[in-house]
Amino acid sequence: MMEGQRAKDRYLQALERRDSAWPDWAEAIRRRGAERFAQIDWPHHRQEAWRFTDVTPVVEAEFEVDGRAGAELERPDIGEWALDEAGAELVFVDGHYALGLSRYGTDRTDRTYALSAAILAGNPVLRKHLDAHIEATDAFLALNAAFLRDGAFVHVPKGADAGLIHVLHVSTGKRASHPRNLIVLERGSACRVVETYAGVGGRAYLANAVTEAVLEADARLDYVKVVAESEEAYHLGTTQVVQGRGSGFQSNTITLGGRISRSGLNVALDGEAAESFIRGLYLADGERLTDNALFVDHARPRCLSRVAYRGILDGSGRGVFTGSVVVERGAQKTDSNQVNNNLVLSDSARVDTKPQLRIFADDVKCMHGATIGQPSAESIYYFKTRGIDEAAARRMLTCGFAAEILGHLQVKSLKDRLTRAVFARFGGKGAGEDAAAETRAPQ
Amino acid sequence: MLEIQGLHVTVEGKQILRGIDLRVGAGEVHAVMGPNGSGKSTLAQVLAGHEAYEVTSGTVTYLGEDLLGLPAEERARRGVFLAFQYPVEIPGVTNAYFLQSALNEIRKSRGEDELDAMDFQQLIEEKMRLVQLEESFLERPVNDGFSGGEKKRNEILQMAVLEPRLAILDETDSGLDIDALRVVSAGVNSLRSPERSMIVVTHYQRLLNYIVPDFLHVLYKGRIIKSGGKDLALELEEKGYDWIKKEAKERAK
Repeated sequence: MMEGQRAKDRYLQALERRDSAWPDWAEAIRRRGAERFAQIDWPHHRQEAWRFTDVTPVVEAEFEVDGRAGAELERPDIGEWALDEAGAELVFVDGHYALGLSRYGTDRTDRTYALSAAILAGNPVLRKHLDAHIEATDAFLALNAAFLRDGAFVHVPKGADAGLIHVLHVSTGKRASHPRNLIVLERGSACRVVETYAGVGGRAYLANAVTEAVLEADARLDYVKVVAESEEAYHLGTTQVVQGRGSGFQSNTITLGGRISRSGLNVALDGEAAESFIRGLYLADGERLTDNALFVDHARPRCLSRVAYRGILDGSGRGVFTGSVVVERGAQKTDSNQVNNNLVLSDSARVDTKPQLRIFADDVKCMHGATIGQPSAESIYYFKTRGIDEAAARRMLTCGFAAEILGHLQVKSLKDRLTRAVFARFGGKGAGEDAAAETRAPQ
Repeated sequence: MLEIQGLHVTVEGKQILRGIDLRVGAGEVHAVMGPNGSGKSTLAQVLAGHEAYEVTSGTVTYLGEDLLGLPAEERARRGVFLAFQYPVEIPGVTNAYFLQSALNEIRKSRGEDELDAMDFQQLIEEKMRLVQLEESFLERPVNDGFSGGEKKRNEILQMAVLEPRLAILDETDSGLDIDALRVVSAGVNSLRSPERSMIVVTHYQRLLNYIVPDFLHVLYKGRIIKSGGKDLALELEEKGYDWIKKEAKERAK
């Protein structure tokens, strides 16, 4: 408790020292965040939403909290995570925009900027939407607003197709950063956004990120979040999505790493006949803990949601999945399906899964379920009759389990990269790059 | 090639095979027929190495070695292949990757070089023509969402790629329509060779019109109660199993 208060004081002192040179409306967001942060306690395991994820180590870690930038990086430092296919790639280091590492293609249909630049320019779309869709329901969300500094602002005008935009947040270690992204898709527009959170240097840090995404009527967003933080790092993130009538949202949250990582995803189906396909893959081996907290709000009639998360737990890893689907009164003809499958490979790994459904309408089709298991003996036997021994069979089955999620990724180089990453972790010795490249995901 | 002597097998404490004797020479095709519950599939699984089947007595010698002492993967590496009655679905693992891995395990154990993706591609294309499968088939996960016919064709494709010395076909005809049966049988027949032996386990005589065996054995209540040449198959088709059962009963008296 004492430690918690000390940590809080450190953040509050840093907030007092912070500059305040932004326009009033933007400073107001920071101020609201700071006030909220001062009022509420750190998340605690007695709270239902944080029951299985103890953030004490995150709170007590003595990171630099002043929001200053860390080491400067060169392009080769981030090459591992860059996406060449992207029409625009915005890179942020420790929460600061890195102009020299970012690139923008020509002939672009979107208006994508660093958030800080758009704030200073007084961008009206930004001003309308920034921080308008999310509530600071916990201390980390409040901190993100209080330390609002930078991130990507992706704005796709009416009817345009912006292709692929990559937002890369890199941390260099020893500090806390609070990336904030905003994605606004106007009516009938389309865009693919990949958000990558990665660490260089392998030291501990906190990336406390928030993304707001607004899909106007008939807009299409294909969203991928990759959590590839350093082994000792902490990632706490929330993605807040608001969908208009007839819009389509595809989401894939792939969690490879971080000592503790939590990805919240809240999707509001706030227009009739909107559709959401929400998938995730989390790998928790070693000492890692990964938490996916999902909330899908069927607020309007005739919406569809499909939730499929998969976890692979090994070593002393821990996985947490909480999925809440709410069908509000009047949201008739809702079609919702939620499933969470877990593969537990060791005795000391653990997973807590809680898919939930609350329905306040009477003409709906809803299903939910979860499984926790191991590769089946029958499958392993089949491999053995083809000359493949049990250990190799288990590795192939594990990678296959992951491939069923990764197969949905539309950006090929990203899919291959993540497939290789899974293979490197669970493919065992001798699992070379050739082999990984052959692990083609299902169509 | 294969010699089975006095084989007794139990599953979950229940006696299924009660003394099987069978000799299969190199290049021979033996059919094993019998009514449901006679122990046909048990025989197939025991030879492949399923651990749920317990051998209580008897021996199986394969290429001069004690087959029962080897784990399933070792049997496969030495050339034993079982085409499953119900092939297992492996979501997320593509046919191409599965087959290449299997082939390379077997090649490794023979002291041969592993095939890279290009060599494998060349090999597989040729084999796929045999069972009339399209190339897109390779990118699909193993048996996942396959029709009954596709699953059986896939088993024969695997057999063609792995080139076993002893192939055991467990009810390969079940669930196939006549066209699929023709394709599968043609695939199997093209793999017949003087070095390769086969045991074709089937409930229906129909399959034996397409894959004509050298020998036929009737299995009943865990024993082979009659053996003969391919003429026996026709006799079975005409007269059913009853007369053999009766014969066996009288012998037992």
